[in-house]
Amino acid sequence: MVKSCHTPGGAAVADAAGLPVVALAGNPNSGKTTVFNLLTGAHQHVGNWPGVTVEQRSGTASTGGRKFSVIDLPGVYSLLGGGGADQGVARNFLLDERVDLIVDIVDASNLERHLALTFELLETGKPLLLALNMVDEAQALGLEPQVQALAEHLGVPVVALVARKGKGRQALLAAIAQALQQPPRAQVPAYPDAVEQAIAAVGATLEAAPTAKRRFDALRLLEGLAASPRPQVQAAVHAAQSQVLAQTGEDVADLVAAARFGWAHQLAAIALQRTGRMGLRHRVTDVLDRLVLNEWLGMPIFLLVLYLVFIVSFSAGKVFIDFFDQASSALFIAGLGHLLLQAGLPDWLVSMAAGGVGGGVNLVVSFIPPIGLTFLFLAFLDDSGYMARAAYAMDRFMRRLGLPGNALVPMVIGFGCNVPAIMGSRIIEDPRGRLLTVLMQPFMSCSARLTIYMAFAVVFFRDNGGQVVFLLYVLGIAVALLTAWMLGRTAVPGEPMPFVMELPPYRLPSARSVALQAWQRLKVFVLRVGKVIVAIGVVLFVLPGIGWTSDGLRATPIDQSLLAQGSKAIAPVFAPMGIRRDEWPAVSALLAGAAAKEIVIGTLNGIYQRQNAADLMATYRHPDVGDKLLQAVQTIPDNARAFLGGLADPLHLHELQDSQAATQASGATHETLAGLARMFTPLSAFAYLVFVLLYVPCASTMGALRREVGWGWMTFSVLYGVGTAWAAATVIYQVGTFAIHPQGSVAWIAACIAAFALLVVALRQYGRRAEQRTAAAGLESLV
Amino acid sequence: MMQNAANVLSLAQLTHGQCAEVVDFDGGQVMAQRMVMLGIRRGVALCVVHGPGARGAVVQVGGARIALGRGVIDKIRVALLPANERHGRAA
Repeated sequence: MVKSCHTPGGAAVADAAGLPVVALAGNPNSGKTTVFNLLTGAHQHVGNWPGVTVEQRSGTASTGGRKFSVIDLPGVYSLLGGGGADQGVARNFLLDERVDLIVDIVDASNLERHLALTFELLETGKPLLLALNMVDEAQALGLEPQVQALAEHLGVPVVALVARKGKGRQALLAAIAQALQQPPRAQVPAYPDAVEQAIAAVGATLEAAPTAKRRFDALRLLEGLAASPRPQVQAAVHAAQSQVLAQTGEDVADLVAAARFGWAHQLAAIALQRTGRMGLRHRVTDVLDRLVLNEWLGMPIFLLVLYLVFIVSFSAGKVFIDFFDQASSALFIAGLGHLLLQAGLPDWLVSMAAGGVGGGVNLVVSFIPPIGLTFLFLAFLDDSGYMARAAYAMDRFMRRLGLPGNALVPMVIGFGCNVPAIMGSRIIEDPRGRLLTVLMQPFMSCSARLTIYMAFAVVFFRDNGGQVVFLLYVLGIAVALLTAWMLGRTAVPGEPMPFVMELPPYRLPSARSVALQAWQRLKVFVLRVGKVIVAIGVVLFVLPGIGWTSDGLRATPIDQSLLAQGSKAIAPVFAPMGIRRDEWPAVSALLAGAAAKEIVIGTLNGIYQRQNAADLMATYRHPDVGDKLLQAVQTIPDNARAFLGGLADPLHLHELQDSQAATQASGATHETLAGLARMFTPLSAFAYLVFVLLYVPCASTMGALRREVGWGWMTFSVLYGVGTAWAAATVIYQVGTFAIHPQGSVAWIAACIAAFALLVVALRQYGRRAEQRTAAAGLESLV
Repeated sequence: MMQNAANVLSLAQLTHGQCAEVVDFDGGQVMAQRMVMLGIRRGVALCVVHGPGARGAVVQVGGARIALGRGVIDKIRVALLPANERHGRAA
């Protein structure tokens, strides 16, 4: 899920350096990414549920002084088709690209099924090496792997691994080096003659393509898994199918499956020797599954797990949040300002760098503790094997809304950040379910939005801040689910595919793996947000300082600046949700928030800090960094005591009553909070928060949407999000102020309802037309 | 093919803990291929380790546990295996 050195959307990984290409292939959840990390020393995210790797990734490794490039592919069950877009990526790479060696990674504890893919990989004719992974888990089941016997039967090298514990790395590297030097000559398994003849006959009618691809295309056509648009190909397929039936009395599809699985079955029997009975582990799995998959308890357990993850993250995070906030404020605002002032820079530059950039960095850093902890817990859940069970437990509920159960996995990721959530939707097999799941993600309240809720809760909802924040999270989930339900009944009609998912074995996650994974996600979060903040920080220090005057562009007071002029111009749009024209900073913050939600409060900070620049200059002259750091450290024991004493109040809502503590927790300055108090009423503040929750999440999310579902749906998602946000905020504000202007309120609410009805009709029309277009296409088409 | 045989029933009709051999699939080639990918194919033995219920069932096939939704278990036809074959075949 973590983005690093991947290539988008399955494009070719041309190895520019001319290094040999070693591709890691195997069924989902067989440990490819763990092996990839083991070989390359990278630290990619590995979760214990199928479909963690949704893109191919490359890295380099070396053995015996020879470098080679390693490609980590998404898990794939079969080269013949099936599965989500992630499996397509792996299939295309293995069939179309130059591969010098395939390292086929199989799970020893589930060998027979994994070997069925090995049969197909051998069929490609590419050099292959078998990595027998999770040998320890096979042994726990009472099965002893016979590496030598397996190697002899396959004619390729076999290496035993426990990749998760780093066992077998040297042997694997040595085998790769050997295989690259002298490609192993495998015993390629064969189909009955009649089938081979059919493959040759159909293959001859296909367009020129690499041999392996042509063979698999022919197989897919013969098995009835695909259809060709060209009549002469279809004619050849039908002729070959009838010929096989006449010769053998059986279907091609049955013969192919029987050959492949018969081979895998025999080989598995040779490769594993039963030494004892299955152990304790099996029984533990039984007991845990009985509990978490229970008809009545499954869903409450999942909700409880989620609730605990967030509550513990926030309350434990608060132990450190003051330290991070105060220490980074001392270093990046006061300290940086002081240094720059000492260096002789002019005051305006100092306030831009320290107030704008430093203030932005301070804001990001303050949120490291709760977000880091959330990532830690999610990584733990990922590794434990629970996530696939949660998806199954929630399947029935999700299905009522027209979604597959595994749509839940991306939604949970979405609480952290919408971008990996959208990427993670690739695990959903059918395109319809995937599209719906992707379009839901922008409404999941990500960690960045929480900063805004906190600042507003401090000012307006001191007595019930926790409830308001919780309500916003629930509202986000509700809008997401309703959106999927509405779209599923209008624009993308159809039934969700029945639930089918492998449940991985429970594993006690290793501390190292969990920490690495959480660190990876946190790093991406901090870097991504940090970059935006620095850029926006500068812009926000310039825009409020200059404006159009009768003499052209000049330095102006903030109220006549470009930022104020622009924001005031569009402010009337937000009038129905309670933002008055003179409250232009709120509008500026929303505009900036379309780039990244983290900077909404940052923008308000920037504006108010600028109005307050003189005070900050005094801080830069006498920064007292040492004292401030000391104070920051002292907050840790205090907060830890409060944490232990306050377990009864896990959200630490009492802090919302103490304005000082709450101010620090929100990352906003006192000037900002005072400004908010002037601008909003509790009602308009709530309407504003609802708008923030529902409108465009951020530029990165838009990018992810475009990549996963294309320009059209991205545009829809953005417009729909903004429209829904505006309508929801307007309805809330108008209902709340109904008594003051009943006619106006009725008009606005009626307009929102009418617009929604119009949208539903338009989407239904679109859905009908789309249905007609795809009505004929029952099978995947070979183009 | 064998759906009239007395001992063939749908996977949904099994009870918790029973083991059976897969006989056939309803629902077309694509559905069959989806099952085959996960190791559920004709002639293979599976045991119900959770359910069947309104949600579906979890079956043990070889070394893997696979969760199958309600819409799927109705479409898999199986023949009951005698109890003494359980451990030998589906573990």
